[in-house]
Amino acid sequence: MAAPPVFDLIAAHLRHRPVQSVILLLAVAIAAAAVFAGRVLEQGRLKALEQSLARLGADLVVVPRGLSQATEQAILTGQPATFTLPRSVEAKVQSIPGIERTATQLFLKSLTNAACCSASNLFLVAFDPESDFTVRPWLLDHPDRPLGPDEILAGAAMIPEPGDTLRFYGHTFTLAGKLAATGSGLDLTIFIPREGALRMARESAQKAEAELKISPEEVSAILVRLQPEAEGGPPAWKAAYEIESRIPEVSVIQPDDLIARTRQNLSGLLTLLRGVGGSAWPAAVLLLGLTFALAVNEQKREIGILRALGGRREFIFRLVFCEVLALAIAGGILGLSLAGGILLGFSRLIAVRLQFPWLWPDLPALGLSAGLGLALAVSAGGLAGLLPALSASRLEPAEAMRRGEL
Amino acid sequence: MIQATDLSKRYGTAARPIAALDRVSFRVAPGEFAAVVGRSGSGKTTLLSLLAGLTRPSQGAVQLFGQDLATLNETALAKLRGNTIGFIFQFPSLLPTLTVLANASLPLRFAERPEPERPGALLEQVGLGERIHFFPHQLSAGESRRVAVARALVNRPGLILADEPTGDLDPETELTILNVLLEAHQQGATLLLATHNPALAGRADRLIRLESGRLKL
Repeated sequence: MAAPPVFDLIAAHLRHRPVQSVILLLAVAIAAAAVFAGRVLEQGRLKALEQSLARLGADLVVVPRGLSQATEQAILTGQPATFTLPRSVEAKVQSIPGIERTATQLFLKSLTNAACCSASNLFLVAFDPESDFTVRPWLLDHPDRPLGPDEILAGAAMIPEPGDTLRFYGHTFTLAGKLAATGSGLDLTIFIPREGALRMARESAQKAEAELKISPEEVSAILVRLQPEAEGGPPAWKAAYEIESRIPEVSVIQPDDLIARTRQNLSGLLTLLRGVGGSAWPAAVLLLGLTFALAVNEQKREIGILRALGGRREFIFRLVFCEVLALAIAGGILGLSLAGGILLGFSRLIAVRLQFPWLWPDLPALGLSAGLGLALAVSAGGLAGLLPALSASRLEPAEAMRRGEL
Repeated sequence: MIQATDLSKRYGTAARPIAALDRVSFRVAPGEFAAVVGRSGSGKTTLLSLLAGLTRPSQGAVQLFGQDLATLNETALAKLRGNTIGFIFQFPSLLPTLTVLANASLPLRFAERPEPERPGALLEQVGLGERIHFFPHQLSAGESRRVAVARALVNRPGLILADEPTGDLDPETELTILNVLLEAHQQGATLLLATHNPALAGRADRLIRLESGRLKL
């Protein structure tokens, strides 16, 4: 004989206790949403970080001693960072064995609420188009000609489009191209050829409200590409050690280390979401388990009646277990939908507020996170439902009805 | 049909047992209408529960349709109840979350030869055709009892065990219920009815008297 259906009984029961059902649904939803959102934010942050550092295109970044952390923040979030090194340091770095090529960048200014760009913060960086190997490869449309001194490149988050003109410090530039998105501060960066930047600074005393002072003999960071190890090049850590030993005034950032460190340093929200996800699961198990244990106790008479009418133990087990499971699955789906909706609407804002780079994770990673959230909800339901279902199914019909009367 | 032999049921602890039924033996033939009579607490409900396999005896044996209930496991007992026994409980026994029709249809879930049209027809017969979509809390006590009777007859049981089916009901409802039960009996079902209503007991072919858990001859 086919197993008798239970879902209409479950639906009727859930409808009969709407407040209890909604509370349980929300408990599971919160657990699933926290796990899903936490994972998506973390994966998005790592993707953006990896993409930013890949975009950087350098094996090492040389900056003034003690300023590596500020540089990392500037790279990742576009936070203000203006510091300099003598340009002569580039030659010292180039002289170290195993260095294939170098390119310099000068961090000019962080502009707040610039009229041009509808971005709350944007970062002006001067670069050298002749030696550059880190910026142009990421142009979405490569111009087939060298950049003129007044032609600039912009990060993906900038509103203006190629061909638009932009004014900084009274100097007019033409946007020549936009770079691929990274989700990091690079998306809010304007790259100006060094020659154009120097001209802009010279003219700023007359044309701008505030003068921009920069020296042609200064750089902020030296981006270093090493010879491949297969061709006898040094490993990054060794080259970094070599540079810091020989040039005491610099610190060296290793992008691979930055990724590893950033993985470990969770932001407050991610820590909170992990905490909520971690504690909401046992809380959901406990809440579901206790509620259904009480429900079984309250419904002993009904259970006894169903057994007396011919219901088998397995039927009673399925009835209770599937009800917990149905609530858990519905709660999981609700949690994923809520978290997905919030992320869809506010992910960029969350990332900006919390100052970490962020991009939507790839579809398989998203699917995995959703699957994990749902699995967590289902496992909470399964675990919570097991004992009440077992105890309900083991009740002797007459005893259940007798105790249900008490 | 029913053979109870030396049937006893004790509740409480081993140190302080309470005997609800004490060495009761009797036989009910197929198609017979027997009434179990006795005062409240005399063991009528316990006896019917034992006969339906809703609880196991402390001592003695029950044979139903030639099968010793002690030899049946829980699954076989459930199958026996679902296919051959119609049970009318003493207390309100409708599931509060289900409509009248859904309550009356419950035994069909467990039956091997379900008749989906029968619950509606039986509800019509007990005068509740207009109330099939009502919930139990919208019914009077008499209406609830009539739904319980319809539910007990849904699977055309060979044995109907009715525990005070007309207790505390008005004479009109009492008569409706009695007529439905008698009709099922006339169609071949064995009817064992526990009551302390002398008028109802008087309609039975024979009486089984219980007093303080013992059979009174």
